[in-house]
Amino acid sequence: MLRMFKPLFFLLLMAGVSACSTQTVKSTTFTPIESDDEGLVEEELLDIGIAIFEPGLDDIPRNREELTFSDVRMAETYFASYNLAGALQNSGNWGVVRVVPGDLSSSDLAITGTILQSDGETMRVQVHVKDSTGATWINKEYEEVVSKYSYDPRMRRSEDAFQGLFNKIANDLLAYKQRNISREKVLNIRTVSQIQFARDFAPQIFDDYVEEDRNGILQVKRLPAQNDPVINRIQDIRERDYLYVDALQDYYSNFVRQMETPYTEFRRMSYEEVMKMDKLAADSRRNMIMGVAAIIGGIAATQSNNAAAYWSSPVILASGGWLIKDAFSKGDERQMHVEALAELGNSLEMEIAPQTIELEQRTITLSGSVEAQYEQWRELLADIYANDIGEATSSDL
Amino acid sequence: MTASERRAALDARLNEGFAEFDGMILGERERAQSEADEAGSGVMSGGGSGGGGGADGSGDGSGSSSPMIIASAPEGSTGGGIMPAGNASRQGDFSNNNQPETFPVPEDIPNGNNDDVVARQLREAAMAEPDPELREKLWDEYRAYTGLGQ
Repeated sequence: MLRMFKPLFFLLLMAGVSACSTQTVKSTTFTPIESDDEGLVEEELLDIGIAIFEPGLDDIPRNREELTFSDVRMAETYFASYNLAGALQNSGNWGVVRVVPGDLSSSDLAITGTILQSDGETMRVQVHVKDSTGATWINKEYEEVVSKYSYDPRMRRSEDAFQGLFNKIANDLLAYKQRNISREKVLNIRTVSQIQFARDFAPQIFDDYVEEDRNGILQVKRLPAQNDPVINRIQDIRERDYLYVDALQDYYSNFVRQMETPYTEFRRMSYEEVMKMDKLAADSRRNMIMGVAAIIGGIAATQSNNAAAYWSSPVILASGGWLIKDAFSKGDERQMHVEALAELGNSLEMEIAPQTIELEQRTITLSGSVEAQYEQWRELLADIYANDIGEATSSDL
Repeated sequence: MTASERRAALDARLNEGFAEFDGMILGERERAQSEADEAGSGVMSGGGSGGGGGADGSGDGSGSSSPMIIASAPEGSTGGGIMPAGNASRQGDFSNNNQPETFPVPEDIPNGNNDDVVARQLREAAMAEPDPELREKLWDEYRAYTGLGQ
């Protein structure tokens, strides 16, 4: 009895596999940026530093390697960081938002991120936000899958196709602050970031102004005296540091503006290719499974005592063969789309890579000059401190 | 040399470094501005004017294909490209009582109503520069940038 139903079982299995093909639901809704309803007092605004995102090239799944172009991904790190800065700045919930290439230890809030996937259809980023005391606010993966309408010129908003993802991060940050951060905490965060900056330039003076508690959170131990001349000098340096970072914003802004048009076009075309490739891959996989199942079912049918099953076995076997052949054919067709995408990616890389290299070189050159200057100032501050200590010591005698 | 004389000398070196640094950064920003102009945009992202996105959420993205301006400070915020001319500090900031003195503007320099970001920064840097020689160099840069006397 069981053997009689075996061919039927395989046919049902084939139908089941067919019905189980994955469908991705794409949202066409756009996450708007949220602003704090309560009137923000200027002194309670936290400044934000965003490190250039990591490209995440070591974390790309094997099936996505062929869709990832390293030079494009490097350029995307600036693009994504810049767009996140835009979302945060436009929310009006924060102080100054800056994209910075290096150390974030003296930012009130420091954001680091890694691009995990970016192929025109899906963007995934891992984002970590912590404040200057070392407390983590957010450590989360964000994903946005866009629909074809995101690239439709008639439907496109002025924002980037994935701006909704950055708005989500900005909204989460606001929600966290509203839930967990009191006014006193805000002021403490600001004080710690100021001390961190001062420590960097005059560690001999400020190293013991903060200490880490057992949870790794920085606590303020003491505050500088009012009218402390060292603090005034360090404040002057900090203003210069802001100027330097603003110069970097000019670099990033120009770069993003240059890459925006070709990159958006690349993503639009990449979206179409990725959609076709994913569909062909799914069809190929499904037909392969169905074909194998049909052949197994057909072989089983040849052993069957049931006449109907026995006589249908050649048809089942032929169907299985055809499905497997079609699976290979779809695989070949998918490969054609891979090649088309590779051509698109290489073309964009040729356009964008020299600009990225120039941006990196300019950033390194400027940062080098700035750091050399900072080193001189550190030495001068140390000399001034030694001089003052000497003076204090001699006056004590 | 007494301790206070030594401190004065070290402070002078620090101030010289500041002037040199300001010149370098302004030069870089000027170059970036020229490149932005060449690319067809009149807006530079760094908030030299300090007036962009404010607490009211009205980010200023006008004049640029880019959706926003970063580093544009809410009014009175520290940083944001404002030249070190004693901007208001916030609670949680250390107080800075070292408000720079401003020096008179030379007679041939007109009022700065039509200054762009770079010209305004040069003007502010020159007005705040205590060293007369460096101050005059900054005014020369201002004259060259704004086309005065050409």
